[in-house]
Parts: sequence; structure tokens; C-alpha cells
Amino acid sequence: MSDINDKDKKNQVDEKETSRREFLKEAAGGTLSAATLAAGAGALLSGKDEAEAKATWGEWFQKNYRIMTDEEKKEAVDRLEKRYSEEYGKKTSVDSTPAQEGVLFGYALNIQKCIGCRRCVYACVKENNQSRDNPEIQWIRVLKMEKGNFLQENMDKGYPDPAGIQVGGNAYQNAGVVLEGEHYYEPEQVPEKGHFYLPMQCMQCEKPPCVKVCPVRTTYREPDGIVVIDYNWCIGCRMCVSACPYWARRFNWGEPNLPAEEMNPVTHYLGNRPRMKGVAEKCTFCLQRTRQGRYTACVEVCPVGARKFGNLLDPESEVRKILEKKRVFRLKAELNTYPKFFYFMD
Amino acid sequence: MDKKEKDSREQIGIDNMVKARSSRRGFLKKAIVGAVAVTATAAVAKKTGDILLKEDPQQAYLNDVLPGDKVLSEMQYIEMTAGEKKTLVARLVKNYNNPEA
Repeated sequence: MSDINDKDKKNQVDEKETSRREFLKEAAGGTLSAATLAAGAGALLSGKDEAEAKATWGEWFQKNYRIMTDEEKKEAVDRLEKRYSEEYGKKTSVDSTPAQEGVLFGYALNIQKCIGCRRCVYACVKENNQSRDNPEIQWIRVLKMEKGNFLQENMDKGYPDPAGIQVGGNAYQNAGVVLEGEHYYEPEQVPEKGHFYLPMQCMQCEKPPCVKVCPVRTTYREPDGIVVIDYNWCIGCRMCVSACPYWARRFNWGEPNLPAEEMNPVTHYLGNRPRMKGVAEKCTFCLQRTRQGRYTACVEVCPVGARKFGNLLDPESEVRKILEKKRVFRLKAELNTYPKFFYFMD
Repeated sequence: MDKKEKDSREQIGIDNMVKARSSRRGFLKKAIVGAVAVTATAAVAKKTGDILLKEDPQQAYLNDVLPGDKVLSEMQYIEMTAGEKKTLVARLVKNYNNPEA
């Protein structure tokens, strides 16, 4: 009798165990099925629009822009347009116009005319969707420098031995005085007496060191001479920032702060589209404008016409005329980076 | 308690432990403990990283930019000669037409 009872008990336990196992098995299978179903249904029901508007998946897994097919470029652009339009609450276009045939952009700046008003800085910030606050990013900076009394005949004066190496001025007189960090000057009016101004931005080098050092080839030189960045491929290693001899690259240390109402909705994939935290950015000669035959924002806004822009391949262009006729200098020419940004004097 | 009985009890104890380890309950327990441990470690690591790497973006930006102002404003600016300008333009045109050059 006792044996029979034990057997029954054991059978009951076995049944119980079997049913629990089955239950778990079914539950796991069910959960998996439900998840698959939900994911599938989600993808189908939510439609491409919303899924792509979020863009996370697509952006993370897209190719380097340079090796994308036209179709892939279109997909990437569409995805971004939807995302930005949703994010900033306004219809945003992301252009992907390639470089025009027979164009090599060059820039010339009349250092004598510049009055240091910094309208170019603010026009650039506005046009190119730069972070407005914390950090306040500016691609152009205008250095305020004191005028010296440099005369070539005074070069060797003040030295007992005239064979000494002399860079401007002499032992008693500076050719120019360094005002460290003076690109945030705020005078009541400009130009200030005894000063001149040196605006600086990306020099769009023919042999750009920033391109050479990029480990993921996210930055490259376009056929029209503009050095661009595919922000989606940038890994934020800052090699380019360190390599640039002109300190022209900016790094997004924090999430860029671009108020929706101030966002410029006319963008280019390789240019002024909103950037993200942890990527490098810089002047692109406003390629969203210049590839459409327009001037850059800084050229347009300059009240004294100090800034000139044009095609270096066209002998009739303003910039070529300046190279022919004016007194021209380049920054750090000795580095053989071949900057296409020239400073000139009348 | 004789030796045989003691051995048998010990064996039962060992069996129970092995059973507990390899049982579903044991597995689930381990899985839960493991998941909690991983999550906690990740959270602590993130928090620590955030605290250590916390930097004022504006200050970081200025640290990037301002040293350049000093260096660039101390430079020597050398006017290009007519020959240099001519050579430069010729080179730019040539390079455009022959990018591999």
C-alpha cells in the first residue's frame, strides 16, 4: 500500500515537473515569438517614415559618404531631412550637390580693408548652424593686433651686428604686438586706433595635413578644393584638430546648442547640417551656397568688401586678378600645405 | 551514527548541492545575480567616467582655440613674389587637371 502511494506521489511530482518545464519552454517560445512578431509588426506598421525619422539604425550603419552609391546617398539624405525636419520643427533640406567640373575655389582677404567688425563671424555662425552657447563655436576668428612701426630700413638698427636674424621690428620696437586671446575683443567701435585685424578660418589647403592624419578617412578634399568632413564617420579622435597648423578645426566637446528657431534649414550633407557631440567641424567655404553659384555668407556680409571669392581656374575671376596684381601673402607657406586662402594688400 | 550512514548523508548533501547548481532555479538565480552585477558595474563605470571626464565644453573649446591665436599672431608674413604667384597658379591648374600628379 505504502509502495503504491509513493509511486503515485512520484508520478505526481514527475507530472508537475514536466508541466513546469513545458510551461517554461512554452513561455520562452512565446516570448520569443511575441518579440519577433512585435519587431516585425513594428517595422511594418510604423512605416519607414517614423523609423527612418529617428535615423539611429540607418545612420549608425551607413557607409562612408565618399564610397556610397548615388542610391545610398539619396537614402542618407532623405533620412537626415526627415530627422532634422522633425527635430527642428521646420522643413529642412539636405543637399548633396557634388563639386562642379572646372572649379577650384580660392579666397582672398584684403587685410588693409578689414575693420574687425566681425560681421563675418556672426554671419558664418548663423549660416552654418554652429553651436550658439556652451560651447559657442565659431569657425572664423578675427585676431586684433597692434600696429607696429615696421620699416624695412630699420630692420638691422639697434643691433651691434647686423647679421643677426631679425623678424620684423628691431630691438627697441615691435613690428606687431601679440594680444593673446584677443579674438573676443568688444570695443565700442571699430576699427580701433593703432590696430589691424587678421581674420582666420580654414585655409582649404591643397595638401591638407588634417586629411593625411584622419584614421577613418572621414575628412577629405573634394575636387573643387574644399576639405570636407562626413560627420557620421567622424570618430572624434581629434587627430585633425591637432594636425591643422592654422587652428581652424573645431571640436564639439558638448552637445551642440542650436535653437530650433535659429537653425538654417538649407543645408548640405558635407557642410552646414547640424553636427553632433564628439565630431570635428570647420569652414567649408559655405559649399551649400557656393556649389549653387552663390557667394559665401562672410563674403556677402562684409561691409567693406574685404573678402573676395572665386574660381582659381578662371583667369578672369576676381581671386585670380588679385593674385596677379596685388601684394599677396599666405599663412605658414613654409609648411607646403598650399593654402588657397590668400591675404592681400592694395 | 556509523561511518556508512555518515558517508551516505554526506553524499546526499553533495548531490543536493550539485542538483541546486545545475537546477533551473540555480541557473535562474545565477543569471539574475549575473545580470544585476553586470548592470551595477556598468552603471558605476559610467558614473565614474562621467565624473572624471566632465569638462566645461566652452572651456575645452577655448583651450583648443586660444593657443592658436598666440602662435598665429607671432608669425612672420612674407609677401609672395610675382614668380611665386605665377608658379603657384600654374601648379594649382596643373594639379586640378592631373590630380595624380
